[in-house]
Amino acid sequence: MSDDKPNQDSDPIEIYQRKQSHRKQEARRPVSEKMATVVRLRDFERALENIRKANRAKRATKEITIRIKTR
Amino acid sequence: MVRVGQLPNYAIGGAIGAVFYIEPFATQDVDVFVMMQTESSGLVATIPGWDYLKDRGYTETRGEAIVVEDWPVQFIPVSNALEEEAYLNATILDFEGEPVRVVLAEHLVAIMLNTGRLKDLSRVEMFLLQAAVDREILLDIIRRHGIEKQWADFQSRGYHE
Repeated sequence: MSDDKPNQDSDPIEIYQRKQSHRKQEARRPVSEKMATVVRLRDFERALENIRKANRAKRATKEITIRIKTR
Repeated sequence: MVRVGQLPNYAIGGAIGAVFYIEPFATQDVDVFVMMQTESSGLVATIPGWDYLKDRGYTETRGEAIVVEDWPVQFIPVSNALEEEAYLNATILDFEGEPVRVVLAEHLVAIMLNTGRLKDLSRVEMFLLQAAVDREILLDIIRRHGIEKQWADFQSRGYHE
């Protein structure tokens, strides 16, 4: 298919606009619902804390090898 | 605390204050602006509310915050004219049937512009993109508190509505 016009799912501008519109709707949710999300995010971050710490330590001691593919 | 006279007044700021206006995002603590009482000696008294919470069993501290119901709460004495204006003009909002005093969106944005950390600027963008501020009020605050340069710098970073 050779349609010059990008479809709705692949046009980055369209995707961005939809995402922003969704974020606006999120902003208008009741504060109690938003706070419940904040609590979940906070708890998730706390759960990740040790994993992040361990990861940082591994990177610092070069236990993790990062290979960047180049052409 | 205000009701029982332990705290003259307060205003929720920071990330939790922001969540009253914009989409929820991760944060680890609650920032509460308070007005410090200065003793006649010129020395600053203890942070209002701190002793009250300690007396009620909230004795765990994390850094400069006291932990209340699993949230580190940091009492931040207002330290400049902008913060004082934000504190004085905070608005009462409803949280699950409880009135809470929250810094106005426009003051939150101005404070974040003034602070200028990357995470603050990212949140400023959220306020603007989510149409959570009255632009005229914000520009007036920016002008009166001399943070036009920070505003111009922010706009030059490619922010667009």
